[in-house]
Amino acid sequence: MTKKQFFLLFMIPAFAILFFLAFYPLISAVYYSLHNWDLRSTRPIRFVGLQNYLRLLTDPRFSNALRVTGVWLVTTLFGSVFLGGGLLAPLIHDFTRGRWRTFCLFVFIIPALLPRIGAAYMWRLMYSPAIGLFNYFTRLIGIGRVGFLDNPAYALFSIAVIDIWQWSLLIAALTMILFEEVPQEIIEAGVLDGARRWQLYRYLIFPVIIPPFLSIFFIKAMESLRTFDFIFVLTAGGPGKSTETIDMYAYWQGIGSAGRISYASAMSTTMLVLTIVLITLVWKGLAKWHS
Amino acid sequence: MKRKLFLLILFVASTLLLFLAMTFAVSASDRVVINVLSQPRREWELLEQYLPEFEERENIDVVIHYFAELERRSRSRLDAATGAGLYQVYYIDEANVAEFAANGWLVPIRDYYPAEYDFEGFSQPLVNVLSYDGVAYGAPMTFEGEIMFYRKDLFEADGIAVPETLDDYLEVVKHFHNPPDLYGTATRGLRGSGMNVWRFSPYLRRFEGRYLDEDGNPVFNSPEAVQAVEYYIELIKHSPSPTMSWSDVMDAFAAGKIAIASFANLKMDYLMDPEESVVVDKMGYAPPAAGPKGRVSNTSTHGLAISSPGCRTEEERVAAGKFIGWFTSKENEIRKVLAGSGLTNARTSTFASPEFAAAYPAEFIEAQLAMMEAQELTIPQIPQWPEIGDYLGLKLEELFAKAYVGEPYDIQAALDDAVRYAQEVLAEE
Repeated sequence: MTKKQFFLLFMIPAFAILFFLAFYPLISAVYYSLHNWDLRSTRPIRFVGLQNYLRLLTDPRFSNALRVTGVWLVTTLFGSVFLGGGLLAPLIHDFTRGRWRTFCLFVFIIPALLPRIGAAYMWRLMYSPAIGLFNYFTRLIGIGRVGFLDNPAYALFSIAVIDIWQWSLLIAALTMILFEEVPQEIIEAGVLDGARRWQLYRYLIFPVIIPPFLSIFFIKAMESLRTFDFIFVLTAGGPGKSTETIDMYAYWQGIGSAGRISYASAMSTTMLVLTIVLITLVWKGLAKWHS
Repeated sequence: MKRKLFLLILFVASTLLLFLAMTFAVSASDRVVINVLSQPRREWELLEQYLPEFEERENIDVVIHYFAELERRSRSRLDAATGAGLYQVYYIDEANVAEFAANGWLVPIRDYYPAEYDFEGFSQPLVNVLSYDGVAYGAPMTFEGEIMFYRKDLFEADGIAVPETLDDYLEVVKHFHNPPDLYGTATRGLRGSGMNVWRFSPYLRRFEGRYLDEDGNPVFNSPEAVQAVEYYIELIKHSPSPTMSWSDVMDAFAAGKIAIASFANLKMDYLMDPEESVVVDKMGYAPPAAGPKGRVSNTSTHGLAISSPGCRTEEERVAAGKFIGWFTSKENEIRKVLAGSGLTNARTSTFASPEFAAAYPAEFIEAQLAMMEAQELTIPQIPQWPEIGDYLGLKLEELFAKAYVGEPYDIQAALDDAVRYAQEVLAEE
């Protein structure tokens, strides 16, 4: 047995696990999306071609879910990256040193370590109109009752605040670590040239850390697209359809209530394709811009 | 080379050993293992401490898996429909028994319910709720009907009489509505066939509306149904939120923020718990208010059923039946009464017992008896109901949210849309 063969042998279990965990569900989803499998019915499963995909085109609930997903992605992605990486990280980096900076890093990571379901319940209680903390304050300052989660106009953004809270602090911490990697000479040269603080970040520091920073951006983008837990706990997609993302709608159609596995699979597959297209386009655009 | 050979042998041997160990672990025990799919409830926690008695006596191991209500429903459907059969016992309720029974996912319960636990002792209307085509599929373990809960202290202070009709009820709700200190009422608005639709259903009946006509056609866009939704929206407008779940309603009532509300009798155990509630000694009870059709209360029960995909052997079916029998036995029902969960019971003998009389106020027992005379199953027992009900719940939640913030809404259009959806779902079969 050659060395290569020997290593290949050891890699078989890992490949097998990867196949079953990653590719098997993906292939199954595509397969079922072309059939008519419905959990509620005992009729035999048969091939229906693109019927499920065509139905998506005329389903107003799906187009609503698409729009909600888009709004959610843009709000949470730019909210957390801009707030965490663009504002918080430079501020804390400039005004802290040594132990204080380490302390801030530690504190910023805590929200991300909280179990998301637990965090969601905590915020749900705070948003409660009858016994919640936020409505107590809105009344104190004279705004009165605010339906954070029950007003269709605010619900999605109220949930987005939680996601931004959790991610922006983590992104701030990661960005601050990236700042540490910037060669000191570059900053000193900038200071000697009389650059202001924001100019140092805008023209010297950020351009240096752009590649790893973009990785954070894309990880967050992918995470935003598959957010399910916060929305499920806080509104389950409501009021009405106002917070129903594609994931949430697929869940309701698939296993939540209707049991339409094939239709939900078509939704998930469409979502996957859209994500790949979107991420590729943005990636190429950003790479071009950076070069 | 020798080292490589050694590593190769080690790899193969450890893999084989792992498989052997797994096989041995499965076959080593001769005890039957029963996996129960349930949802977290206080009385389950209570009875779990008595479980070792049963396990020891019957030589059966019971593993209880808890999931929140909606998750429990979807998980059991997935388990049954895919034939996975991970659970031998399902927790079922009126919303899914028709679907499960029609698809052959449940075993008729009376075939395996041990005689010594007395199936005949269950309240018959509850057994009917868990039956399909005249066959009982579940052993009831809760009893739910609607009771009016009100703040006696507030009513006495303002000299207000307990409402008899829906008109009186709404007047009282408006009288006390003074947010944020006190809300007139609280009612479920969160979407779902087991959420807002379930709570709305008796109102539909009180206004003489119905979901399906004699031929099974959806008719819940009738003028009566529109009237029922209009009324329900008035209640929502006087609630803390238009999207409350039952636990939100409970929390608000227990915090002393609600003047009057009509909801499930079995929630009283929660309101009577001094650790959870500040209104323990301020509660008044009455049967639900009457609409044009009179008083109507939901009949609901949750129960336990034997899963046919989960029980692959006769031995497993027998063991599942024994567990269900033990769990729903008279002895355990009395245990629940003594521990303050007496309303999560289903036996006539329990409600007539001295323990029950000692545990609950006479006024409550009287209200419950009056409510029992007005009970009916307000949702259709058809397999498609969960899907139809969920869609209606979505439309209702939309209406509630709009009405709450003062945006224009169209009840007729929303109900027409839900009926169209129901027609499509029914036509698919």
